[in-house]
Amino acid sequence: MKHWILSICFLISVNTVNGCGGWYPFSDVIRFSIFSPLLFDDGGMSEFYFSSRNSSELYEHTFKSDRNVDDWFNVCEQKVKKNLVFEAIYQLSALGIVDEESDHIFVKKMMELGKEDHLQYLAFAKKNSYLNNAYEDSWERGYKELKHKRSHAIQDAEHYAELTEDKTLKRRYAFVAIRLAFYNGDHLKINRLYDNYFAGTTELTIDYWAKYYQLHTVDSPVIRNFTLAQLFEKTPTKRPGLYLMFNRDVEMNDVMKFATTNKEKANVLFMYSLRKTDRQLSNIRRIYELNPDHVLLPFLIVREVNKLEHWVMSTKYTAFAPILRPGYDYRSSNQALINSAIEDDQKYAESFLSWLYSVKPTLNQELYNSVVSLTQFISDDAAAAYQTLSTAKYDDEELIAWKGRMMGILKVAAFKSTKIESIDLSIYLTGDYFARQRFLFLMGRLFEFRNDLGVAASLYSHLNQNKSRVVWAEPKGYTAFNLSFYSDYFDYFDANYNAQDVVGIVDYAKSAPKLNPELTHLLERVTKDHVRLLDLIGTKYLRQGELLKSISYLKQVPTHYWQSDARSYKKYLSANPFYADFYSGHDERKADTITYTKYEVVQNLYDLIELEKTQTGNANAQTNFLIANCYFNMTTHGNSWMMKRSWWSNYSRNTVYVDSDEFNKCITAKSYYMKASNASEVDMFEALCLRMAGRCESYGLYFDEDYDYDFDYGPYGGFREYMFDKNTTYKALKNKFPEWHMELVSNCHSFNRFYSSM
Amino acid sequence: MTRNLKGFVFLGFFLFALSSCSSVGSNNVNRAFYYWKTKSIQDSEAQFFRECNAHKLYIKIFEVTIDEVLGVQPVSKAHIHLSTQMQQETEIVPCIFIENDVIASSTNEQLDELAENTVFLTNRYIDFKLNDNEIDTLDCREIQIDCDWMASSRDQYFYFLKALKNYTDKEISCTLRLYPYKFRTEMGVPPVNRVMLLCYNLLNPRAEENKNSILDLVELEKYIHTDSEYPLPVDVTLPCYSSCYVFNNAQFQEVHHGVPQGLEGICLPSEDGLWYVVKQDTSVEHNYYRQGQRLRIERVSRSLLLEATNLVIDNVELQKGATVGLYHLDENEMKQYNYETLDSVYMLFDQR
Repeated sequence: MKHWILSICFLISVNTVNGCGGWYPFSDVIRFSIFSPLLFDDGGMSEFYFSSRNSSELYEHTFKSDRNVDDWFNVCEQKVKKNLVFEAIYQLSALGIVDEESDHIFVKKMMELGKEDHLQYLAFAKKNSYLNNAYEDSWERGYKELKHKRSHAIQDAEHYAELTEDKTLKRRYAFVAIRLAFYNGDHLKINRLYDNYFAGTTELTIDYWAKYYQLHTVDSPVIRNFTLAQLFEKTPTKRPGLYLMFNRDVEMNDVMKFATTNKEKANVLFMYSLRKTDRQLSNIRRIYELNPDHVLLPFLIVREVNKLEHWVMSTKYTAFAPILRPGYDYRSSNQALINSAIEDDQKYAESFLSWLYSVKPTLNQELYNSVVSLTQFISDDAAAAYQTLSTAKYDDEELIAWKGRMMGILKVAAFKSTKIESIDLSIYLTGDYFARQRFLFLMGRLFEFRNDLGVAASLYSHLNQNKSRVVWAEPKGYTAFNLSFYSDYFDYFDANYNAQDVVGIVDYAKSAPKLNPELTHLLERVTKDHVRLLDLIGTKYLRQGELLKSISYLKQVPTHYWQSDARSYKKYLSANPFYADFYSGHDERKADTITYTKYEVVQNLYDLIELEKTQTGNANAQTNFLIANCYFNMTTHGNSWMMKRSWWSNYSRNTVYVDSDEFNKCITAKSYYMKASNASEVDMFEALCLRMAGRCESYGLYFDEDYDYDFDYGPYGGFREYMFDKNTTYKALKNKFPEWHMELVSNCHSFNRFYSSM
Repeated sequence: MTRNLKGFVFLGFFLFALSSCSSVGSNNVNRAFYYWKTKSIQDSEAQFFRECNAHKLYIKIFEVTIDEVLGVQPVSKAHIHLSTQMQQETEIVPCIFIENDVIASSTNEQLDELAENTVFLTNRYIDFKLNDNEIDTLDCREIQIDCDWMASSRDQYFYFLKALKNYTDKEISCTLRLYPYKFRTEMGVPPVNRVMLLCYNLLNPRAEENKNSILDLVELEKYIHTDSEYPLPVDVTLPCYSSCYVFNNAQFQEVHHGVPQGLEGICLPSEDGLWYVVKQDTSVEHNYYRQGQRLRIERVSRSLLLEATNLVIDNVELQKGATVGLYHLDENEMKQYNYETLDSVYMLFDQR
């Protein structure tokens, strides 16, 4: 129904930003994790990895997790590699698999072993596999024909099953018949075939697969749950289907009644814990007690660590709310709740650790060391984590790489004296980006928390240079561009640190490689951004109102930078910043015959401010008017907004910039217009200044008050009238110059007449 | 007297007043429910349906989407088997939800094919797939199309609706959102036998985050207040469902259709009745809610439902024999309403 649609629209809309960009991070993108479940899984459980979404990535069918490949590997007497077995049984055609001229190693080997009957079976199964495709005829236009064809194929399969002497081939043909009967909805046939050929067999994967299809004919949800729980471990390729069949509304105790052994009990308990997103330690502990060798126990342990990562590290490091750090004011009344939740999570991590310690001798030691060290780190005991991992030994290449990256992280986290120079940076800066991106970010975060901003910025600067994204947030809930996340170091430092901090980053980038050439790669991008950073420092000082400092940095920016096509100054800093009238905005005007670089604007502005200090009367009024114009144009409403922002949109109103109010409310401009008004000895010019100051005040009023539709019916006659009435400067103009008031506020051509009065 | 108690007394008085009225009248509406799930109707749902004296059930049998590789496809096919009793006592209206993209991206030739396929698969459901017992025959008189069409896809949508009539002699109805109902001149009137006006789901949950997006009376009135009668026979549907929007890490995470029972109980008291904060980690109906997590819980209270009913009665002209539907028949949702409340909705229409 429609509301589903609207919900979908909502889902889409909440994941997009207002305005440009069209992408908003959510779900697993903001879930922090540095421990891939694939490190301890062959991919057979991928659909059940912990995820912020309802389900994790889709199952990928590979030779690693398909037990049927193992069976065929044995059929060819283990003389063909498993990936080639996989290729032969799933990818060769029905003709190709029995082609005597085939070059395929599997086909050749099977013929060499005299197992043509097995190849004939594969050809038969492949020939009929199209009948298993439920999507082939989704409109069901050919359902009669399809049913008819399946019935024929079932007959053939039964015939071959009878005919063959080979016991396993009998079952394989019978399995084909069962699967076809399943798609024909013929439950009687499924049960008859299952009873005749399979009942109780557990030798091959198809024995379990046959049971899987037979299970669809069982009505009792309790028996279904029990049976599928026993099948789950054995049939990786059917796990998604089994989970779909699993009815979680059925009470576990009812299912447990069918379990006669501890292993069966453990399987039932596993099924009920499988996709739980809450704390599962008690169930993990119980499964371990019932069956310490449960094949999928490592999966549950890794999943639990992934939960802890999310609960503790997502909040701590990516800083998406709710977060732990002080100063976070998002719905502050809940801050105590959030803090206590994170404390509880850390306590839970400690309980989890205690259990891990207690089962150390029986767990796979690679798994044990990995999860223990990571959980120790999550529990804020980096020194112990460092100690644990340093003794761990791994054979697998990916685990060795993981350990390398973790050791660097733990070294920095555990020992405050650790310098970046002592870390092997190559494993963070090169290689598979997907595997290293979060380590890179985490390393940056650790240095940032130490206030070592030069190192942090240089580490962050290597993030997100390809499609993958690491995103992070900050406590104030909105950023430079009114988005609540960052993916680029430049924007992050622009918004969250002051000019002096950025000066520190630039100085570090300049000095560090001289002292240690090995840091050159680390500082590559920051060094490349040198001029851009100078511009940023100058801009930040300007935002902070420190003009001389701003000039000193902007002066270092080469002229060609302002003209570069890579920047937008040529386009957006092309109007005269010292000109403004009643309605001037972003566009160029006739008066814009003079344009300035950013440096020149600030220099001229500074000169005017100095000049104004030496003047009185009308001269002073005129200079102040020019200063006011310049400050006005450097706001969101003016023609030189790029003096203070590199990006602008109607949606980026509230930002974390230090001059957010100034940029939106024209506060300084208003004060200089008032100064000009006070200094003027000519009434018309004084009135003009009040009019301009009123314009500034108006922007401030609108910024502070959202448009209210109800005012359209209110006593003021409308929201505009209401806001006009609130404007104290317009009131002052009306009181002092009633004869000019209307002309100034309503006649757009009056500006020149009043301006020329001076 | 507290506000809640006042509301309770008002409701009680209101229900008493209704029950004293005759339940039989020439203006009686067809009492209907929507069933929008893909699995079979639970016994408790069937019982509630009967208790409400409903005799018409709109069942979504499949959806139509467009797949990059496979093209236009039926998906979310229902696996519903209706009992013999349900078939005998109830008029079944198969409903097909079609994504607007399917319509918007199709040529007339493709829409003809879609119409033929839609009718074919619908007939499969009527003749075979909805029957619990093979000997049963389902007597369907109407097929309903649900599509979130827009002005830009109107011509194609209307073409499709007309094309359906080439392949079936059953009545064709379609759902109608409030916007095309209000702006009928701009949006056009669908070429069907009758329309089902959906009196809910009025607001974008994001744009109006402090309003109930399922049902807001002010918004509803804006749309149903018109100067003239709609040119087609109109049926109406009111909401009796709930939604919970779950936010995690300050971002929207997912929506739970059907708010778990007692969810508000694990939260701090809400100031506005919409936004809640979970006070401690709790699993409720297989969902794990984390301490500090924000939830936006939207329900349609009994009193709100009755007020909306009156508003619709006052503004929408219903012909004799019109259908009044409730969205949707779900055992969890039904726990929020007693039989008397839903019966009152129908009775108010009967006595209009």
